[in-house]
Formats: sequence, C-alpha cells, structure tokens
Amino acid sequence: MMIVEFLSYLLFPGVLLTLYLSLASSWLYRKLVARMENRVGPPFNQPVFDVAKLMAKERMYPKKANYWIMHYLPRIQVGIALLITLFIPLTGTRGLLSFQGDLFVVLFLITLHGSTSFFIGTASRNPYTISGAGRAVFTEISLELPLSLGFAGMAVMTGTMRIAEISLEIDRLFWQSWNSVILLIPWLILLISVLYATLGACELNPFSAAHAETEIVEGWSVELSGADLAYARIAEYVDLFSLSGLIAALFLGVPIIMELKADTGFNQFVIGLVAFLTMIIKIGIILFLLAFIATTNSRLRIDQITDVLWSLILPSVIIAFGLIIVINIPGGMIG
Amino acid sequence: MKGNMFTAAKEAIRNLFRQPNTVMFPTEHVPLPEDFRGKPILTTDACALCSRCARVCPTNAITIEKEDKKTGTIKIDMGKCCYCGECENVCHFNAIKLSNNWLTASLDKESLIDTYRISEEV
Repeated sequence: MMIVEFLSYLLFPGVLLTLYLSLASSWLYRKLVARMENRVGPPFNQPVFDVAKLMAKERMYPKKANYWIMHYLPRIQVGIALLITLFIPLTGTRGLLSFQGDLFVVLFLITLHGSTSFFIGTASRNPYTISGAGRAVFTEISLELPLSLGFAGMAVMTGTMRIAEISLEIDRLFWQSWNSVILLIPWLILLISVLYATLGACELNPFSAAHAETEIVEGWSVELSGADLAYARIAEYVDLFSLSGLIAALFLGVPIIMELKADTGFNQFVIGLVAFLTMIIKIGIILFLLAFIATTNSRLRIDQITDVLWSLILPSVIIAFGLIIVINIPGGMIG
Repeated sequence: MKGNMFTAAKEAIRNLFRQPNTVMFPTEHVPLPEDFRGKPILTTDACALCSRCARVCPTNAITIEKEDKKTGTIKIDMGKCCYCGECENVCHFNAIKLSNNWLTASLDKESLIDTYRISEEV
C-alpha cells in the first residue's frame, strides 16, 4: 500500500505526469498563440526538446554574482511550482494534497514562486537582470491582490476554503440547479480578472515587461545558462499549468457525478480516467482563453501594467467580491 | 482602444481557421520564386574555361587554375559567393547557373568550396 501511495505521488497523478503535462500545456499555449497570429507554431513536444537542449549546455556565472542563489533558486522554483500542482484535482474530486484551508497555502506558494524571480535577478548583478527583477516584483505586487481576491471570491461563494470542496460546490451551484444564475455575473468578472492576473504571474503577454526580449534582453534570467536556465524554464511551464489547473478546478469545478458513482462501486479506474480527461479538457479551455487574451492585448509597459492591474482589474474584482457577499448573506437572493 | 481590441479578437478567431502563413521549417519549405538565386552549379560539359565568370565575380569567389587551353579546375567558394548572378549572366555557354538550393550551411570552410574538373576529353 505504501508503494502504491508513493507511486501515485511520483508517477500518476504525481510529479512526473504533471511535469510532462506542464511541458505539453506550454506547447498548447504557444501553438494557440501562434495559430491566432497566423503562424504555424512549434511542433509537438517542442518544450521537451528545448529543456533537453538547455540541460546539455555549459553553465556560466558572472564574477560578482551569487553562485548559490543563481544555481539553486531555479531548482527551488521548480519544487514550489510542482508542489502547487499536487493540489489540483486531476484524477478525481480532490488532489493528492487536500485539507481544510489548502487554498490559503496555494496562494502563499504562488506568491513565494513569484518572489523568487526577484532574488535571481538581483543575485546576477547585471543591469538588465536588476531592471527585470524590479519589474518582476512590481508586476507580482500588482497582480497579487486580484489573484488572491479572485480565488477568495470563489471560497466566499461556496463557503469553504478547501479546493476539492469549492470545485464540487461550483458544480452543484452552476450545473445542477438554476437558482444561482445571478452568481454567474460575479463569477464571470472574477474569471476574467484571474485570467489577466495569471498572465501576469506567468510573465506572459500583455504583462511580459519583466523579461522583455527586445528591450532588456531577457530580464531577470539573462545571466542564467545551461541547466539553471532549463530549470527556470520548467518552473515557468509548471507555473502556467498549475495556475490554469487551479482556475479550471475553482471556476469550472469537477463533475459531481464522479463522486456519486464511485460510492456505488463503479470501477475506480474508469472514473479516474474520465475525471482526468475532463480536467485536461478544462485546462485546455483555460489555456485557450489565456492565449486569446495574450494575443488580442498588446504588450504593456511596466507603468501601464501597474495602472491596468490596480485601477481596472482590482476594482472589478472588489465589485464582484461585494456582489458575492450581498447575494450570499443569509436571507439574501440564494439564502 | 475598444474598437482595436474587437478587431484583434475577430482577427485572432478568424486566423484559427485559416491556412497559416508560415511552414514547419525543416520538414516543409516555402515555395521559391522562379528566378530565385541559389547556389551556382557548373555544368562541366558546357564550360570552355573562358574565365569570364572569374573576372566578373565581385567577391572573387570563382578561381580558375588552367593547365592548358582546355584542361583545368574551377573552384567556387560558397563562403564568398554573394549570389548576384553575374557569372550566369556573363556565361556564353550557359555552363554556370544559379540553382534553387539555398541550404548551404556547413561546419567547416573547406567543404564550402566546390571543385569542378574540366578536362579535354569531354
């Protein structure tokens, strides 16, 4: 039994599967963006080849740079990002790690992941990396509130702080009954805001000022090379996958039928597979929305990023949050 | 601003169902125009060793080593060639022609030099 549990953490739906899915979802994102821009896009598994190539490259460090931070922080980034993926309910109604209040831990881990890029940038001692690190931390601060409030809005809407319960409750609210149609308005506002914040957390267009390629070369990751850069890249890919997985779980929910049939002795494996495929499709939908926003919005300067996130996204999130509270108060519209 | 975003959104969705403008490079290639100027190829049967091409070449990519009037070696250095097509224009015998081959990258300079042997028997 121990071995089965260990393998579930390592292989399915554990670290190795999520690692591959992250690379695949990064390919899907790049392919979708390319097709929307009328390009042909990268061939399948291109991120895997990219990472394999980078792993074989030589590593170099600037003289005055902090070796320990530049060498180990990208690896820690991957660890943190993979830890977030363990909370996503991939093959059932709950993720590998699931406990009351896990949403809070996930929000903390997302912030931790975002702040690591600042330390890598400043440890590299390069004007470009320091500039990129400053921008990264500006973006991180600006997107932190909309992202957290967006996720917290779903917690308030469903009355629980556990990701598994939120996703089940969302399914119950929106797919099982028509009573809560009015909740769709704040739900939609929160979804759009969280999608924008996710693009910021993954440093993708339109919030890619932190590693603007043609302006400050590659931002905070200029001085990374070889395996260090490969790990930083993997962390980005896993971050994109984990955040889109979280949005899929929290906003689109997991089908409640899965849980009901599992209790009546239905084949566990088939249910797991169906749940897994549903989740992959949902993550695909989220990636499509992310790619759509990234393509249709032009790249923003750092001052425009803070402006958009603080004066457009954050107020709309707060309004949606207020709407949820008003609708949800005892004796309110839903009661 | 709003109008621009709407146009961009419409264009992005339309592009999804369109044939892409680019191709998957190493396996597919963009169709070349008819008068494309690629790697020069020499037909040794037609060459009369008149040296016009070597004289007209602006980068001195073509060198001719004559042994006698009808025997010799022509070397075309692809590292120097600028694909101007002057040699093709000046050749009276249509011996040198610019082909459609444009994948001429190499790892060493020696393999970039094409050597053609012109002998009397031909």
